[in-house]
Amino acid sequence: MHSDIKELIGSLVSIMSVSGQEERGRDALVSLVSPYFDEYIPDPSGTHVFVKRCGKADAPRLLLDAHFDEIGMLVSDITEGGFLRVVPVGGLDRRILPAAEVLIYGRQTLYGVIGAVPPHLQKAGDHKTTPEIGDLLIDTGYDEDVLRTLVDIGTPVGFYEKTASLLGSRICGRSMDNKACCAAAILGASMVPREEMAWDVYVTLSAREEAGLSSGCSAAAYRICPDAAIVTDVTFAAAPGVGGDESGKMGAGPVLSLSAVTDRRLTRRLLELCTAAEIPCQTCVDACDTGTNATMLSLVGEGIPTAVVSVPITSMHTYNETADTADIEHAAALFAAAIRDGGLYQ
Amino acid sequence: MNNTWTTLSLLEQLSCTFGPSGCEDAVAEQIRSVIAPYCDEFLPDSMGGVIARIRGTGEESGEGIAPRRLMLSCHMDEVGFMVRSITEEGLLKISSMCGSDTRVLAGRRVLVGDETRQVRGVFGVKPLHLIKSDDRGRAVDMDDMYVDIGASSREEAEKSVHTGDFGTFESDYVVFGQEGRYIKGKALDDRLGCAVLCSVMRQVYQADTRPGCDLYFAFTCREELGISGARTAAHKIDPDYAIVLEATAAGDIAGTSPYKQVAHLGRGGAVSLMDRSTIYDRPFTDWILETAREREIPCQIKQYVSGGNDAGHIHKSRAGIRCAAISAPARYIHTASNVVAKSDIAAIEQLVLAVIDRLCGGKERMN
Amino acid sequence: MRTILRQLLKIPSVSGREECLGAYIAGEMEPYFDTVRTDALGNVICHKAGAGKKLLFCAHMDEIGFIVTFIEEEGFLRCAPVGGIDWNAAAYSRVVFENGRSGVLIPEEGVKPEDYKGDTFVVDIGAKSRAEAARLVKIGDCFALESKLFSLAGSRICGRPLDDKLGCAVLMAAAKEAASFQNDITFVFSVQEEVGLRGARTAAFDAEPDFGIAVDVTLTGDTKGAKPMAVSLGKGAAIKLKDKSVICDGYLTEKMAQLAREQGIPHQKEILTVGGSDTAALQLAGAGCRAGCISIPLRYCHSGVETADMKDVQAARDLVCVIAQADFA
Repeated sequence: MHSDIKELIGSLVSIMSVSGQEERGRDALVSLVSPYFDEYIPDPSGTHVFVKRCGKADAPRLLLDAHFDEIGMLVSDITEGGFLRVVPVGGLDRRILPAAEVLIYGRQTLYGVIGAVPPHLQKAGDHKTTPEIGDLLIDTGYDEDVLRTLVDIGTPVGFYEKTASLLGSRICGRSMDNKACCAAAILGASMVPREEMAWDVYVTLSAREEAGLSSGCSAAAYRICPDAAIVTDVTFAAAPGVGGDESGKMGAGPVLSLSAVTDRRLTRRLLELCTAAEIPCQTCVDACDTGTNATMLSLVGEGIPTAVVSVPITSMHTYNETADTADIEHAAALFAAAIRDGGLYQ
Repeated sequence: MNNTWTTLSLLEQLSCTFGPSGCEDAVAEQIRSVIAPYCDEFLPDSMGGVIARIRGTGEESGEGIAPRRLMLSCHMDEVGFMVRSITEEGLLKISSMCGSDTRVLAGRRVLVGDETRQVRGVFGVKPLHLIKSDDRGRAVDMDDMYVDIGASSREEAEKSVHTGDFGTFESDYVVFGQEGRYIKGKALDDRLGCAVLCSVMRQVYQADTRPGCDLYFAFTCREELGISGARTAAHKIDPDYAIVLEATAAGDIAGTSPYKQVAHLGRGGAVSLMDRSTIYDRPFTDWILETAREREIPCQIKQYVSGGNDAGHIHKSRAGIRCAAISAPARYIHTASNVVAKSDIAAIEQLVLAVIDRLCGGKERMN
Repeated sequence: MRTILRQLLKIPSVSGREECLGAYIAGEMEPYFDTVRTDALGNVICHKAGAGKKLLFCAHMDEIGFIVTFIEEEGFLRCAPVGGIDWNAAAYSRVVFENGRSGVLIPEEGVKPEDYKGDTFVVDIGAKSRAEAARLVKIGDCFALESKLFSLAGSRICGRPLDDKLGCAVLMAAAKEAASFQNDITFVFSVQEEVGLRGARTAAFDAEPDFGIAVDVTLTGDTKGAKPMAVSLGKGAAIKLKDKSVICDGYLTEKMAQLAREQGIPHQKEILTVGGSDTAALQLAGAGCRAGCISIPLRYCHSGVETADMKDVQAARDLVCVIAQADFA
């Protein structure tokens, strides 16, 4: 068992996984995670599948999906002077890009800074708009000819910030979306002794969620054919400007999605498990779309009853997303309760 | 339920049942009990839909086409909304589902709850007198709308309603117009498809001859959300042909350019050639049109490219499925007051029966 | 290859109405494959068994066009777009119906170009009344901008619809080398790409390939005022890394680039920030597959004067052949 959730999240964050590049970190991920599971199955979609079996014949299959990919960029051009142009992968917030620190995952990993025009060179009014991503240049500090030997069009670029601690149980850094939930899924599956398991559990750390289409989780789920699925992803935590009924409260436990596209019986059962095990939790309403893999996952094959359990974070899609490890541990506890629960879905 | 129902009495009953997208259980339960005597078996559906099978003879029969498995599909859900939160004052803030037009919500009577219990409410709006004159012509913003169920505090409201509850229109089933030719109600889109399929099942099951192919009747969920149970049903059934029974927005009202009228009430089912979700299989569609012509069943071609339906999911499932769609022209679709013509419902039922009859080898056995 | 292309351009194939082109291609492919069949949606699926991996190549047969939705009393036709029509590029053009009949696509009087959309256009086929028009054209008939092909300077060609009859021509030319393909090869000539990648999805579901490779056209960054994009006409076959619909498989794209390098096939990398391709459908169908795309750079896409370089087309053909013969892990 991983003694420290922060350490597990930190290790997962350190494995680069810009959407479409999820296979590059396979060895590191497998050595980190496979000790808690019976089997690792690489899926051609780039999704990493970890299986833990309950040991009973013909056991039902529970899919626990957390997307493994993170937002980032791809190099689209190498310019004179050793600068890089990029295109976004996933929903990149261009307001936070000027002066951001990045890592360029070429033939070797390079450090870079996204350029910003200093105030005294800006035209009046420039500071009120944010530059287009296509207009930004990454400064690598290399000459163009050397840079061309290290970096190619299509080389992924990610943010630099590592995981760090804030006060109490709060943490910050890049890619809490969705490494925080990957950690919750791994932790949840690993904490249940085999003899207490009611299901064979398939944890899918899935590819390409941020790029839309949920192709990674759908492909893996099609092969696995699960009887039920829980998708875990991040959601908005209340913060200045984010509030009311569109957010969860950080530190108040995982957020269960009430939605017309998810399975109501499964969601209801998870809420009952929270009450029974005294796991703090909250609900939010996502009427027609959960904004997660669940929407597509529920339609895979003959259909998969699916619920969504989210971890609230602030500053989503920046390089300093913040989360509360207590929420992540409570999500893990809920997954563990679900894995023990034979009545979860009939 | 006894078996003395007619297509229209069943439509009335289904129309008045609570079944917004994602909360179709009450409709599903009714349909299951109605059709249980008229099918060989039900197939389980993890999305909450109803799939029933009438087995064929297994012989190759059919005139023109000879499917292995024919899927007939309609959707059970209706447009609706979800309760997002409850205010201090006991009013419900809501999230619209499936593109409801706020202009048709303001002032409306609604039901809120789930398949087992509902309470009545009203879509409240700020009185006209208090709105700046400039804003009077403006549609109400969804965020400014609320449902008043008569509670005076959050605590009181929470005794009857929970966040995540569903809501839809409350609207009577009314027969009106010259010689009572029209029906007004909520959810006629697509409960009329459901009622027609139930009636078709009864007649096919009780007939002396059976088609060679297996018939699958799918009553699906969540069509109005665009992510449909028809997709998973089609994957399960694996048909080679499918017919979707739907309601389509009729624009045959004064002031609409003729080319935008789509379909006309009273001229029979509208057969689609193309919409936003599907380009329909041409030979199959032509075969259906030919069937209507030969049997002298009123039928029209949908004359505008608009909307989409379950066919969009069905035709792309597995290795591809030949699809056709027959829709009842319906005015004021997605409001509390859908208007359809009785004669169109009858014509669609006749057409579907004629199609199945031709699959039986063309033996006349109807009436 | 130009001869093949010329033949393909003669046969109209608006999305959903690809039967005639499909029948022609199926006939041409018969000698090179073990089986050639047409599926429920109209995809032409050619299969040759092999000992290696299962590779699926896919080029779409369909072209953008229009469908007749209504006939006005005066004999004008109303229509709806089939696929991504640029109405400004289509205005005042000759259009041709499947039966060979001509018409002209005309905006209603007084509509400004910036307000052009389907509902503001009519087709004048010369009919004087609804009755006369209805004898000549039926609701549901499809038509497209006139097909044409001519040479520009050097190896450049111009005409329509090069999207994606170039891709079809590439696969048909590559098929002549089929005897040397050591992998298990399926060529799909797909339907309904322009209306939402529909055909490729059902074809891929059925074929269950290990690798799926679309052959389609892409935009370029080398026209006047173009958005920055590192793809140019004449610089070789473009290996797609990403477009709006898909992020291609890393292993497959790297393998494609390596093979191109080793064989000296001119190639470039492509990141397209608008538009999608059948690649996405290949990646998503059923349990999915490792998906990539060979793109042919094309200027003025979806207009009547689409422009390509035959050297790029040749490079795409060569790359298809090399991939079909290669060893895959």
